[in-house]
Amino acid sequence: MTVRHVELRPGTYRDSVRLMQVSDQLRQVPGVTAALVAMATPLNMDLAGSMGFAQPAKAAPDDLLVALAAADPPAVSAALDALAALLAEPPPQAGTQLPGVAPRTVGSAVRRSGANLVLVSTPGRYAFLDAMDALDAGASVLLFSDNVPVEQEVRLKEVAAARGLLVLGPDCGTAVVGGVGLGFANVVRPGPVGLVAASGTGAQQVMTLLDAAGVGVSHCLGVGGRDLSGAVAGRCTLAALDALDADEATELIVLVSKPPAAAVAGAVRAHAAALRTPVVFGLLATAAAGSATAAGSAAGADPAAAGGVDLTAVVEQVLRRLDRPVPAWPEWHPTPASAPRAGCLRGLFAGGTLCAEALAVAATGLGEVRSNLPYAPQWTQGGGGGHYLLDLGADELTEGRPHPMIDGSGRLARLAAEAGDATCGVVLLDVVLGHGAHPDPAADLAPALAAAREQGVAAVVSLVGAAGDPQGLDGQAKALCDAGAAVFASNAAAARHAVRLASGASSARGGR
Amino acid sequence: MAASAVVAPVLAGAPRPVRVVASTSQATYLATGDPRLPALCLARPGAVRLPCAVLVEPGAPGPSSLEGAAGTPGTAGTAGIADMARVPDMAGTAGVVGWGRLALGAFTARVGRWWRPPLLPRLARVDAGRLAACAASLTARLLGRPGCAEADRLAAALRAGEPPERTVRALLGCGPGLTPLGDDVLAGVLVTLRARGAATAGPLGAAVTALAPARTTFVSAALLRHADRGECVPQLAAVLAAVGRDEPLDRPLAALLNVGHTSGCGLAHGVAVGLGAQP
Amino acid sequence: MTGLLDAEPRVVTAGVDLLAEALAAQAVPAQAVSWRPPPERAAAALARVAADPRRRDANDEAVRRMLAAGALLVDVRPAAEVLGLSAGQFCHAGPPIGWDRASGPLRGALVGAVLLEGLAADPAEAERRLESGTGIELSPCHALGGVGPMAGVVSASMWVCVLRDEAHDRTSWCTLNEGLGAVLRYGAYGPAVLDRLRWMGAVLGPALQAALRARGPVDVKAVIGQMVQMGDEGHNRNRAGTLMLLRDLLPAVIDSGLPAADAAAVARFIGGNDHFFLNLVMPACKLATAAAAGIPGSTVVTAMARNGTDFGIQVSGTGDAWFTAPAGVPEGLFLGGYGPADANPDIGDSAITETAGLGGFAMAGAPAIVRFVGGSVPDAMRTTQEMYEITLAENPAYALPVLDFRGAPTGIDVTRVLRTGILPQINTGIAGRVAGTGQVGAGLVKPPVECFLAAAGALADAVA
Repeated sequence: MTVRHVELRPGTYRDSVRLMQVSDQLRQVPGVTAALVAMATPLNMDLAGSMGFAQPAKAAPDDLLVALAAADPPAVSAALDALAALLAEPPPQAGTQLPGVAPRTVGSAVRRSGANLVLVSTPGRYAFLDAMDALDAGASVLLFSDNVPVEQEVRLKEVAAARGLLVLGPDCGTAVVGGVGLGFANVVRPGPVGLVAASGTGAQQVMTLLDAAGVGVSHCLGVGGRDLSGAVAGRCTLAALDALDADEATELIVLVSKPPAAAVAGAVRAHAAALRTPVVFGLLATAAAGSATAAGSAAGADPAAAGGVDLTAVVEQVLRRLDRPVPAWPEWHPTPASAPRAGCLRGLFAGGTLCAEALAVAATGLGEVRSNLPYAPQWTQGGGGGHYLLDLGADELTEGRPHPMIDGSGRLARLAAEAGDATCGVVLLDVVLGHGAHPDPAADLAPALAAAREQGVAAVVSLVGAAGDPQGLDGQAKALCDAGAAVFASNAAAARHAVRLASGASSARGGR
Repeated sequence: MAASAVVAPVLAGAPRPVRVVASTSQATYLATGDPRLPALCLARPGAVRLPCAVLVEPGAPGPSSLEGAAGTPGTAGTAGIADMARVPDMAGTAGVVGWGRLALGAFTARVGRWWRPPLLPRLARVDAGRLAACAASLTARLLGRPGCAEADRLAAALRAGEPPERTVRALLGCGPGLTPLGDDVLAGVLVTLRARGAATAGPLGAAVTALAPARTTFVSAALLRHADRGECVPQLAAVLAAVGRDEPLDRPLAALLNVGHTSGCGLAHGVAVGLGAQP
Repeated sequence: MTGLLDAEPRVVTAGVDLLAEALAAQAVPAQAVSWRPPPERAAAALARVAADPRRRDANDEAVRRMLAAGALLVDVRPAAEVLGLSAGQFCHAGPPIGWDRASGPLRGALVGAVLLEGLAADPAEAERRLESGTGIELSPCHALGGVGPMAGVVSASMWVCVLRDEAHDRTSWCTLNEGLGAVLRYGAYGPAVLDRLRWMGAVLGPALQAALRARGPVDVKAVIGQMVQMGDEGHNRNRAGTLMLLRDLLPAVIDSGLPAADAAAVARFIGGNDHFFLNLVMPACKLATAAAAGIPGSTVVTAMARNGTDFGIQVSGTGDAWFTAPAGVPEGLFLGGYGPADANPDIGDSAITETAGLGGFAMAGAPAIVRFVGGSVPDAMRTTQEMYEITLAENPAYALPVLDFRGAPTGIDVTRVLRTGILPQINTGIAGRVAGTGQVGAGLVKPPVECFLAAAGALADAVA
């Protein structure tokens, strides 16, 4: 017998990540068979419905939905008690606020603390208010939120430019400012290279490779995925270039992005050329553009600024500009080397840029490779076999769950499916370490990787991490390797290895 | 925990034992056993930022259910939150440091960030006349403040070409406190001479390195090691940067004088002597 | 560039806890915002208002003027002269309303005013006249630049005090406070009420007029500045202010040549009414908020007022427009045998005090008020601190000693009210539902959020 409990609590708000954790905790309560605690957005209401809960009428997104299923009423009570404890306000931070009332707006908090940077990760439809409040109070903004309308992004960046402030984002998940890692960032040593990045995982790959080469990073300014579009016209990119140019610690700037809109690209290159600090352009080729075209167009005016096809090549170019040796990028191979069953390459990526980079490499080596990325031959669910690389962070694939960088369960399910699919021979995955990422992704993935090995599927992992990361780079690499994966610090190298395995080149069979 | 990149060899290297040697209300000092990086200073972010500082911070709030062993889902980032109140301050308390971690009694922390100590401004190309003018300006502002006697002694010694060992013997360990005034003046002059790329920096530094361990406090000797490499507190670097950029010295000097009780003063005297000395 | 890259950033976080945790692991102190979403239906309007390029400067100007406004009591005269009221014209508190929707206390006060002006022979006839509306004109006090407490009814022969803001060349006014018990402003209209009003017009008003004209204006703003350091907050507690006013005026009253008995009666009247000074604080606040009114793009609230049925607000950027919603019933402590069932919905222009940073906003300076409105002393402190979250400035002229002389929270911002969910806290008397009952208690009340939602919509529409 199942007892169900559904209620709406108006005026109770917690962020979605916290609520996901709360739901998880409630599922551990003995006797509870299902639990969903979430803001009552239409998406979550549908989810509740699909879980068999009756949907209360008049639910508003401002209400907190509590839906529990348990074996008996005492279990429901226990779950509700646990919920009350979990929702209780956390204790106030010692030493960082006046006794009395906590600041309720960004502006209030900035004025109290004299802050110069606000990290905004409130829901996208409200984030503009918080970001503008920060600018009004004289602070720059790291806008982590996504789903911010483009006209709001433009307005924020206009106001910021007028006041000498920066708006990094929206949808900026990675930054390093003054040595402090913000969002998903790696613990890298301080050094002379400054990054301007329209891609978070792209920036993380560059940072971690630089760190592995013994070269550090001064700052990484994330400009948001849309900054280099025609509408936004690179406003933040230009401001970021200026800021890094003025920074004494930065000796060289790297710009990491997909190729911008043509008009914007011209303006950015012209601006960069006028700076004191040299700028290396890391503009990723898209599979559709083809590596030759991209390199050619990039090489146009300034061969030295030509973006490599991949980020690893960009990093090597940076090292040469700095007169530093290019190391052999770390790799870890399982022993004995696995010879895969015949089959296609399947990529399951959490990082969109890493997926795009791998896709470009794979398309060159394997011909048609489909993807859910917009400029590739389109992959569809149940659309048959063949090679495909998926960006699991894209909206249509997250299916309302948190992003795969936060919640890896969706990827584990797909990995199991690929292992069981006879047409699959090689799987390619990215694992990103650092602040904000899973505390032990290798342990999370190992069982699924081992199972895949049992079924004859070869696994290749690009491990984007720095020696200083909290997860411990070496330990993670070894654990993944022990589970049967070939592990590479360079995503491009991982992709090339996966392509070799999938095309059955005999040189791949011997392993290294 | 945020560690100075300067002490990365100790913190990120193979594990080694450490020991509390001194503590104040603001900081706890550990002896590392490494001759080039003899000390670590555990301090709050708001305290004076020594080149060997490792910052610890009152723990962040989080629902109590999230605090727990590292590896529990959702605890990314919480493992390793440090708490100054939990740092043992009893002299002699033993611990281990290495592979990015510190364990001292019940207190454990992991390095979450490497911070970069200030870049030493390059003053080698600055016009000697301007350096002399800055030296005179600083000296004038420091009249009547602690350290004048030590500064005069040092300036005279440098002018006369006195053997560095004799100078150092006269100044090291002079004065009370964790960093005696004479030591601060020496530190200030060493950093300044390094910034100028002066040839006299080498012999003076060598003398200090050789004599300090026996003649002054452990902490002060450690800081002099850093000074000999041009590693200093940001307030001192800011004064030198202002000299290099030909900017007014009032604000940076005021900030430097605020450092410690008399340390900032001693350092400022050292800067004045270093700017005015023959390279 | 701002120097953001020169050193470690000083950080504020708003949103996902995950980000704040990573900062702690890096030993970076960060101030977290206690964030909650604004009402969903306000999101679009708030975004448009936030994007308005005029907003920041307009609000700066509004606040500057509000803080710069002065308040001098310069005269006391009949309403007919000051307001230009003629027979049949009456003012009332709150946003516009007609007889048909008026509550008990307002109806009773209007009946009394009709009788006072000799427009009806008895209450029944007065009611018929008011109901028919013939020859009767009602307008809000605010529309004529003044304010009235509780029912706030003003008719031609009532005497009013006149205040001046010399900085902005503006005049405001308010009736003279009748005292407690059965009084017109609570809807009583018996012979004793009318007699008192006549005495006020015949003796009190002229005495004050003579005294003022002889000794010169009283600086009401300065008195308020002192009284908030003596436990008054200007709305529900005005004892110190009343005594200071009496101290200032009494010598001139005695010197003016009045018969001794009259002078004594005047002194006794004022001295015996702890709320007398309310009727001076209110127009002083009206001067401050009026100075800030009518600035395009400004989101500062310039009036909060209730007529016993509706609560209305006015906002600087939308001029004279009223944004109204049903008034709530205050919650608090009741006198004698009265209870919540006896209470009338919120009534009076006295919320102008909160609009200018006094009253509930200054509760931290008047902790004794909790004995009358309920709650505890920490509640009083917390209330003022919460009000800082929804206001744009602190008024140095009204400094609160217990908060280390921090200025009272002034300049309510519509957008901050909606974003934080904190509604302005009003300290008020509670009127009896039935006309003439008088005061049944004192308590706390907040405006309906609908007023602010409507105002935000109008502000968004007004963005160029």
